[in-house]
Amino acid sequence: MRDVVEALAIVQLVLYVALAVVAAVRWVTHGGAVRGWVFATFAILAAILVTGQVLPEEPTGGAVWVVKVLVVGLALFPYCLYRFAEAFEPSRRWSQRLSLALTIAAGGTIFLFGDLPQGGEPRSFAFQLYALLILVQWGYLLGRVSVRLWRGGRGRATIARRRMRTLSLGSAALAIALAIGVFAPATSPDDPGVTQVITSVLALIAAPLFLLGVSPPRLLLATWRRADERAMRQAEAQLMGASNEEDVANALLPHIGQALAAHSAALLDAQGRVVASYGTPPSHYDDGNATDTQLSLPLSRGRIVVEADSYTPYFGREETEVLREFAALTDVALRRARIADREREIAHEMARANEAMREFVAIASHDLRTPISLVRGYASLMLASWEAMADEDKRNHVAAIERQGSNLSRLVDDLLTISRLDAKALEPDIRPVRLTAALNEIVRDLGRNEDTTCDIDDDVVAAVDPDHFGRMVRNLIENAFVYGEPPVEITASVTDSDVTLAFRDHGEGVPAEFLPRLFERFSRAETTKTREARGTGLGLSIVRGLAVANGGDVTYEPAVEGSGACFALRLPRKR
Amino acid sequence: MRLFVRLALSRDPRLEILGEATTAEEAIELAATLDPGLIVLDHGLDGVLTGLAAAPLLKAAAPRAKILLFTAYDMAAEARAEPAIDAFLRKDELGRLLSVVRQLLELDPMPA
Repeated sequence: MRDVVEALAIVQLVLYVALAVVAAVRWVTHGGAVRGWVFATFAILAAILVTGQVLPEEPTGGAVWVVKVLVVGLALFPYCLYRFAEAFEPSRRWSQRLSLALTIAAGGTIFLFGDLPQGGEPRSFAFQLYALLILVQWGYLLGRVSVRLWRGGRGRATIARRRMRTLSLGSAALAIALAIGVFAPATSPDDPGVTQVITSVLALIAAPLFLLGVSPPRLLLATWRRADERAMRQAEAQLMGASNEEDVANALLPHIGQALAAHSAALLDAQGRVVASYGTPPSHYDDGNATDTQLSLPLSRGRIVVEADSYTPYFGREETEVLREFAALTDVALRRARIADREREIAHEMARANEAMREFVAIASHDLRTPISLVRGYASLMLASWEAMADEDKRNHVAAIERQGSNLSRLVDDLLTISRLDAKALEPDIRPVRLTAALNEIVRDLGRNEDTTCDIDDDVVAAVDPDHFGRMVRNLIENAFVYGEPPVEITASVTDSDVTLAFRDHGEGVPAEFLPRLFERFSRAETTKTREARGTGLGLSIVRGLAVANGGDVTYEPAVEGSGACFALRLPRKR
Repeated sequence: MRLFVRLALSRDPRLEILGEATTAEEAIELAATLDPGLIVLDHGLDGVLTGLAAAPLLKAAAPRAKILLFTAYDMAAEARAEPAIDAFLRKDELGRLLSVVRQLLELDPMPA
């Protein structure tokens, strides 16, 4: 039995020293208070075991003081492990104070004893009380650590959960070992007893459990990760199949949230706006600077921000690394989604353009056929009844043919202009045009001198193609008389860069319901006047096209009481 | 166009123009009042209703009337699909207007 206990003690020693070394390396490499407490915990334990090996079996004199210091270490060890768990989730103040008080009591009280009972010697009542104090201290601290780590593993990804629960089991095993040791009858080193073996075995079991919890080997990590890999493959497949940003976020964020047991995860665009989120996101996000609990995974445009909990930086390290790889995959998926979005947009625009073209062709065909039909119809009538037809009827029919021919000519001209505007083949020949002189000439040509006033300074000059200017102005003036009421007033307002001509009539104005279609092709408002008028419906569309081609625009200003419609033609001033 | 239709149909003295309308609403009112034998209906009308949409309403107002859809739009298929429309003629076949009207009204062709 003694040999067994000694062998177990050696193995324990090796394991706990290895544990202390691993903890030291982790602390030096990664730093942080959490790793510091881990190192303190197992360094103390290793020191106790190593010192225990070199001390005589029945210490006397100075060795007793060394034993007492080891007992202080035994009190500190669970306190350090408790502080490790506290670093993730602080307990209430009373618990913190109780823990400290118990540790101070357990560590300090040993110095009140003169000699310590040797192995096999009966223990005094005071010493038994002290042993109970140690048990209470260890039991309370290790118990809290065990429960807290076990609960903390709930709902986490496999690696984090197993690490935490492994540490929890290690703490529990040590606590049980201590309890057995305290309540077991005293034995001598030569005759250790079964309880001594059991406590040694439990302490031995705890060592690898702690080691696996602190620094699991890669092979074990790979085995643990298998359970999560299927979820990751599914998330990858969903990512690659995503057709828009929202799908990408919906495939990615829940997985990230679950993998890190995060409070929330969000996908932010390049401007920091939230595209999609999982969980309950905070009211704002830090500008790309990660904190302990807010992880930021950069993308080529934007980033993923995860609001994790306090356990994640220590226990979620592997998941965080995997998720950085996920960020690269997310970038690809987002680019694909954006391209797909753009393709859909282009397809939609093309479909709209095709539909508009179909409608345009249908209306143009109709509008061309009507005058052609009438020309042919009147001509047929005249041919069929020339001899019997009265001269007046012949004149009327020829006049009708002439009118329809004129309509047809205007329509063809308008259609050709529209076609050139669409093909951007209309090259304006920009020249300085003195507006007053040009406007007066057009008004004279249209025979509208008496009903049109032009109140513009003589020196106002626009930079515009003179033919285009004539066409735009003719159309606006003719519209004012055809669809509005005289008098028509033309005024100008001038800025450093532009001159805006306002064409105002005194009619009813454009009906409000027609305004959205005012500058569309083949659109004509339904008013009493438009029933009589028979324009092509292309005039304003052409005016806008020409104005824009010449670096300006034309807009409509709503009619006010007593003033009718007002069209504003903006043109660049002479450069 | 209405003037031309009037001229074309006036060549047959058996035909009398009872009325003209510029909108479908006007036409429906007239049809109910005048009870015509035939309605020559354009598709591009003033007002809200198109000719095609107005055809069933015209038929309901004047059940006896034959409806000829006479338009420059390529709408033969739509006209065939509308039960209220009895015939379709495109405006560039203006010369056939009188003969189609006679067929619809079951009138013999006039002797030359």
